[in-house]
Amino acid sequence: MEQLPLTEPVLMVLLSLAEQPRHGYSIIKDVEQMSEGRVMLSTGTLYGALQRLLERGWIERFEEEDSSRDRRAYRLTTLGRRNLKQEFERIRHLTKLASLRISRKKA
Amino acid sequence: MTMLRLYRVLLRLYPARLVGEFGEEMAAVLCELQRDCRAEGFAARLRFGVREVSGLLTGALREQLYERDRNLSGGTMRSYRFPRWTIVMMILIFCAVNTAIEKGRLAAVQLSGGPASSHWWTLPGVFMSVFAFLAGVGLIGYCVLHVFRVARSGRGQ
Repeated sequence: MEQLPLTEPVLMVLLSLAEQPRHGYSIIKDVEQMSEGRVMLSTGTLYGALQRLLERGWIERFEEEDSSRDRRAYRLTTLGRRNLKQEFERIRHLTKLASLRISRKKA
Repeated sequence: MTMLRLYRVLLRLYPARLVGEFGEEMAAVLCELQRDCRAEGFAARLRFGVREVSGLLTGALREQLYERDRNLSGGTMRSYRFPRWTIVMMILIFCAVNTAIEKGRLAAVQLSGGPASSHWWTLPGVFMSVFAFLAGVGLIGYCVLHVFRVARSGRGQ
């Protein structure tokens, strides 16, 4: 699943973790805020994505001192950050290309 | 509370590995989200409930398929067992799709001014009836075998 290009929910989860380590509830709220309410993750979608990202080594569990088993935090690994940058480059290239093509069509 | 109970029941549709690893965490996050929703209106709570339930159902199907691929590619094909819950979900989806096809056909007939009677013995109807019959026979067979097995093992006493 996490081969490029990434799906929007996965990309949003990675972006949320790129800033700081977060736990599940915080990720859902951050994604909602980032997308201005457009992307609202359900817990099923979130944990499916988290499991896959953990398996691929893109994120890791972050042990907080006061965290219980029900409230674990996650953070981006070096591999995850590198892949996120790669995806961002791909999107940037695509945006640039689209912008050029659309403006050329208008002219 | 009812929502949490339903959530825990639906969590059983997920592969056991994932439930063991994330089940409690998922339920805890649901409780937090539910707390946020409490202050909002009925419509917001309903939206939240629908989103969570549909997310769980689609997520469960996706995870079961992923788990199946994982098991097959991991060389554990011989020990692999088709999850019972996936069969139930597949039947439900199959019935829903067939009903939608029939409803759509009826609507098209009504719009074109034709008679609005249901034709369940058209292709989707036949498929669904045969499928329902076979599923029923399978279920009865399974129950009989299960009762027989329990009786033989002496677990029932």
